[in-house]
Amino acid sequence: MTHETMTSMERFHTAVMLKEPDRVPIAPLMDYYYANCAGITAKEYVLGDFKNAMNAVKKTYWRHGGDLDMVHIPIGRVYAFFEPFPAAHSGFYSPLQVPDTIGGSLQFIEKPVLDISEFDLIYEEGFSRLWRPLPIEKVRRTQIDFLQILKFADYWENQMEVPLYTMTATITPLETLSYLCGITKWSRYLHKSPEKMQEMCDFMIKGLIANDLFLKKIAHSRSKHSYVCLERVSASFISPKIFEELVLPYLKQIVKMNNRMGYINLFHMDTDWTPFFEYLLELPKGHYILHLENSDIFKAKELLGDRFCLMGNVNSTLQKLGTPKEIEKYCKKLIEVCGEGGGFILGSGCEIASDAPFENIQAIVDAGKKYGPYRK
Amino acid sequence: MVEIVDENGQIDYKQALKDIKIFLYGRKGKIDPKLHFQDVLFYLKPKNLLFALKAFSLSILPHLMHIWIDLGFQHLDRYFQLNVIAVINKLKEQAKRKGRKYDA
Repeated sequence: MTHETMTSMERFHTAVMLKEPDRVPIAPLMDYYYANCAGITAKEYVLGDFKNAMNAVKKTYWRHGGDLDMVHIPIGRVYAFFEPFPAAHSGFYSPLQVPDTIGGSLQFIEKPVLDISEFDLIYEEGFSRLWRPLPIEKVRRTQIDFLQILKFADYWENQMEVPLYTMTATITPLETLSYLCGITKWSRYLHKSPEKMQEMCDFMIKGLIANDLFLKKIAHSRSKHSYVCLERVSASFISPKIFEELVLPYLKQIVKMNNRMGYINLFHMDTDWTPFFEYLLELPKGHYILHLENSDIFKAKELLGDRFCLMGNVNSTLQKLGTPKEIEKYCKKLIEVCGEGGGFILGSGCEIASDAPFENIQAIVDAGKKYGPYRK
Repeated sequence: MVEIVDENGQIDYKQALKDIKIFLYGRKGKIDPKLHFQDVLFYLKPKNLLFALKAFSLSILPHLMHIWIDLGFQHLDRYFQLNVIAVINKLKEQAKRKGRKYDA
């Protein structure tokens, strides 16, 4: 039996400060899995009363023994009807598909809505030009729901002492353009008109940073995690040259603001970032969490471990198709290698698959409890 | 480039609000930041009023006070004009102009 001496909030942030907490924090990122675990449909979770979604989070937390060191806001509704900025997915720009089944998740149907020939019109009329027709009542209701989100945050951060994954969201301009232009056109534009893409990125970055600033101020989160979506600008999608010219300079601006506001840079890094790891060393000093999915997390520990807290990376294939034994074995390796000396958070690669079996996710929790304590 | 947060952490809210406006509504874009009577009526409908009251809780009152003090009424008001009221008005205007209906 291990003796735990820290709250989840203390444990999580001790790891972020690259120190050893009482044990490795257990923080798989969940969203639609909450609905699955609580036995409600994705549709109910996203479009139903927000209280049902909040209760699904509580139910999941307690089903896993109260041992999760982080929770996440049920974000689907906000993405769907609240976010007029194209920071990752937003119902203002893409149609939604919400399955009425348990174990499903909200899908954004990606349709190109922006052509490079329209860039000048965007400069003049702004991104609202691209908004889809939305049911006004739903948008207004979601605006009121924001009060419930504040209540949710207060409960977890102040009463339960459990940090939230994030209450803010920003994205590099180039990645936003991939969602708006569609991946095929976006790739073509990058090669044929990089200067026009750069001009658009310059236009976008100020608004994206300003929006994130206000989100931080309004959320006033105790966890102080600043989520930066890094999904489509990895080595799986773009060349080092494009990264250097069209991603890194903007990422540095985002980081600079976060650092000046005393926030932790939470990089949500999907796909494979391994070939770009060295670029991260160019970022200003500050506090970081690199939430890795399919990158080589062991190499990250070796190259970046003395400056960046690592989080991950039990990927969705293992969560869904692996056995509890296989998951335990991988978590043990993660804790032994990446947990050495602190600066590691045991988690999922991206988020927990919405239809992952309960016992597989419990295997992550059990492994964290079994192998995670630091000997003092 | 104008930085909205300086080295001492001081925030230029006016510039940040300007950046939001340009991003959403463009350099030449016009916005309607007024809360119209029919919108006020929407929030005053018993069903919606009850919904808002249920969403509210005393535990978040200090939080809301903090936001108010931290941002100041002027900046907060302008932020809501841009990110809440003008959004609704723009959606209504687009629906009227294009005659489009919600499709998902």
